[in-house]
Amino acid sequence: MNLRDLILPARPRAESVRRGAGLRAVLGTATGRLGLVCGGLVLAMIAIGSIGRSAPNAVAIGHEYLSPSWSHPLGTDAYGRDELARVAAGGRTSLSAAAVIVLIAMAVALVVGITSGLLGGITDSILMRLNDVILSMPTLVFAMGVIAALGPGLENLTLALSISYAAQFTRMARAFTLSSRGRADITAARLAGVGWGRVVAGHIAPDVASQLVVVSTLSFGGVIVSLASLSFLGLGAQIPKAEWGSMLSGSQVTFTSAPWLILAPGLAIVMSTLAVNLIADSLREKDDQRAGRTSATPRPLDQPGRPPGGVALEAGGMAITDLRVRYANNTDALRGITLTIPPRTVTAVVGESGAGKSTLALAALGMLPHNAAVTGSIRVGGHQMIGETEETLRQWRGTTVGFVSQDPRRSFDPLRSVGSTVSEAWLVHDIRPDDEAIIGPLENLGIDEAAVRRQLRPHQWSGGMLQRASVVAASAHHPLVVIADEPTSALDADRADDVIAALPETGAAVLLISHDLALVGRHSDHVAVLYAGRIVEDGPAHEVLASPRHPYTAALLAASPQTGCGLPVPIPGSAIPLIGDTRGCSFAARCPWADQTCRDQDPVLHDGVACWHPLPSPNDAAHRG
Amino acid sequence: MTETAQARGDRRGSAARFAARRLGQSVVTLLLASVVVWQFDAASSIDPAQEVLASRGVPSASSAQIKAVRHELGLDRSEVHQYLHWLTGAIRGNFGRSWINGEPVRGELATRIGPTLLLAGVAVLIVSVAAVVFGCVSALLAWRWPDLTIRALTVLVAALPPFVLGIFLIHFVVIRFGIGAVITDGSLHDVLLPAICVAAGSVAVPTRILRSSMVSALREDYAQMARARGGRPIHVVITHALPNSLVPFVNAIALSAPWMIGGTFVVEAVFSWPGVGAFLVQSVEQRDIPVVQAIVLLTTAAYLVAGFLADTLTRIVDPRIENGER
Repeated sequence: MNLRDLILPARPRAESVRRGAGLRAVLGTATGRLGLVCGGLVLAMIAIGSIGRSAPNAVAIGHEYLSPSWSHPLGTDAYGRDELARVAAGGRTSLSAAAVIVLIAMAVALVVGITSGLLGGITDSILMRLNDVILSMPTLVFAMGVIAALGPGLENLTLALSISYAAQFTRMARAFTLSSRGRADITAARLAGVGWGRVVAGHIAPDVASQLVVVSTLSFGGVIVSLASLSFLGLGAQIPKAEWGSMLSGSQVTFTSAPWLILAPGLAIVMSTLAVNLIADSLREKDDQRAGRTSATPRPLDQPGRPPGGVALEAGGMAITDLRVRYANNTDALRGITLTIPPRTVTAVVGESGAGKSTLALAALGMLPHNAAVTGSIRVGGHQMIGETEETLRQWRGTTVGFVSQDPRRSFDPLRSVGSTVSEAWLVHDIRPDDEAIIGPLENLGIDEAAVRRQLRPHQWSGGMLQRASVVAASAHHPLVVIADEPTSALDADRADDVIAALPETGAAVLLISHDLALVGRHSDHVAVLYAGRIVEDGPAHEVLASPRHPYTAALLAASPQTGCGLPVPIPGSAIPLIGDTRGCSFAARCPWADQTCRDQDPVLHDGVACWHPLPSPNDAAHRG
Repeated sequence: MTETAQARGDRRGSAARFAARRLGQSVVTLLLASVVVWQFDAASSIDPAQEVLASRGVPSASSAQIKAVRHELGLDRSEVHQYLHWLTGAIRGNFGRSWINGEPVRGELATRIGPTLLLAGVAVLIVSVAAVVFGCVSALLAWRWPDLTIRALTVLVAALPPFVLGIFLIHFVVIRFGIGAVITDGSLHDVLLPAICVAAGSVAVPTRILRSSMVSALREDYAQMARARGGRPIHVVITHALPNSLVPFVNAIALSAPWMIGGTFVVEAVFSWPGVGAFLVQSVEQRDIPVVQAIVLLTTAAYLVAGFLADTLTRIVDPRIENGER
């Protein structure tokens, strides 16, 4: 074993992983399996037609134009030749020519692409410029030019298509080389003194080749169609050689009397192309799926909480009662939230990420995914949101419930002016706002020259200014409630206060979702602490933040750099996953005071805290025993 | 005020610089391509002088006649001189005379270019409209039955090569039901069936690219924000997801251009469409090299222009894209 073998694994790992993933994608998807079936049918047809049948060019006088029968399953043609034998022979011609083209193209691409990618500089520029010249001629047109020069025939067509596809593959081989060259194991080998020759032959070339194999699979359909198209035009395979394209052109005149002569080679081409396209599609499907598809059916909640009717605050604000949300993957995001948000106050919901804060915001906007199971009650201005139709919820969004989101740089459409995104708040409710309705509020929030600035795109605005524009859009229709989901986490600290201060000025009840306890302390009237989908502590902001009673609240305050004393203390452990049934207090595993009661029984929210052993409150004489 | 004007000016300036550089690259590529196209003549072992004499009704010419025609065609000059002579002519639209009938190539091309542009234009229109409609429906109803149906349909149709679809349409639609024509006249009246043949196979890729980029655009904060303001799903798709997916979509159309150009030429031959493609096929059969050279060069130029337009449009639509080396 030499040095190289010690440093480099015998096969680059990335390659084998990729190869396995491709095969799994083809076998694992319906499209891929269907593609394999189509391809298998074509190959079976070629096999059956090739073995034990008369020669594809055997003329039989007196047997012309026979319809399909047992002895001639696909009938016979104008010379009494067996059509099945000819379609099979045509398939062998097409597939072998296509294979030759792809192999030549791959070989050329490997040499030129790797040379170009590794040498770089002027060699690379020249090679790629020349390659671009071939690429600038559409494949079929280039092939026709070559055939005009060299004469018609399958050999010349094969040559022309090989050159054209080689140019296409070369560009990719070069790109693969560049990415392979930067891989860590190859850099390591170079640093260890392994020569370029060995690195190229042993690692880069196999890596690039394995990626090219996938690309060539995707191109195979195009090669078959190109071959058939030009043979159909009489420029490729010549009579009497059997080829699908030339068989089609020869049988056109007898379509009405002998349709099988068109259908057999026609369907053979369609089936082969379909097989290749489906397999290619299944390779791509994997990427699409990774981009996100959650289609598991929702499971009903265990305890469907009855929404108690007639909560106060019919006139304004929002009342949430026993809200439970379970996602399709059986995660319980919210497990019975009860919270009231009175008008003209700021109610803050704090907690770590994963506690259910974002789910709460989506629920309050009526924007939970369709496959989430929701029970409980959300009443806004006397109306029940849970169970309302999508169209009614849509009309309420923006008019009754406003929303300010997390990152203003992402919540404005990059292609539209800021002004047009703000005016959207009116337009989607079929109102055409006059300029003053937009400019006035923007200037009130301290944006100078709003009339000019609104025509700029978001990347020309600062984050703080954008977020104030968001506030203007959210308050366009004087909503009863404005939900602000971490509205300042992407802003500079000095900008944050302006934005938060602007929220209650709209006259709405504000639901401020944040993890920034210092900010919450400065701006909110009421604080609810969310942990693992439950409210564990709830009360006036100054009380909760000054003398927390739940151990989790205390830990949050200690972990916050602004509110804790001295250095922040991280909370040990992490939130438990909320799947299936859970027993006991969900914070028990991380709580220094947890005992058997905590682990066995779930505490309920009582007197503003859900804990078996609450920390003493200042006006509470009893001391922790 | 000045800020706005300056920002716009900068954007325009950088787009213009990009366009100029990209145009320069295209011109260099086209010039190099012209060398390859010129080689078609040398690669063929045909003596143009004998071809021209044959077309003038002189089947077995004397060596004096051949010498005279060689001088007339400039074949007694150096290779470089011949190439430059051909190139300068080509730039002015003069591609010489056909070897077969002695007519100027330019005249025949002029009458045929209109029908080809009509056919290709209608095909691109069909692809774009179908891909936008299918892409929007698929993105709105991702992974539900309309999306899956569209996907199956486009994959199936993509497996129909233009000439196979052409033959099937001629026999099942034109002859059976008398809709359209077998021999077409190159007018708007007859364009639909051939255009469908060209377009069919090219709908799948732009549709898929539009769908997947719209699905990810719909997940972006700005699209969610539009929903949170009360936007209808269709509004979010049309005003946010579609414009933000335009760049990959335009590039997908540009990428399918070579396939569609090839398809157009083959379909012209199937439907006897009086366009450049049918002329090319006929000239390749007759090995009428000057005509083939002219059409291959023009096609290359057209494809390069399409690529240039797509790249420049990309820059104008989305100013965030910085100087990307292509």
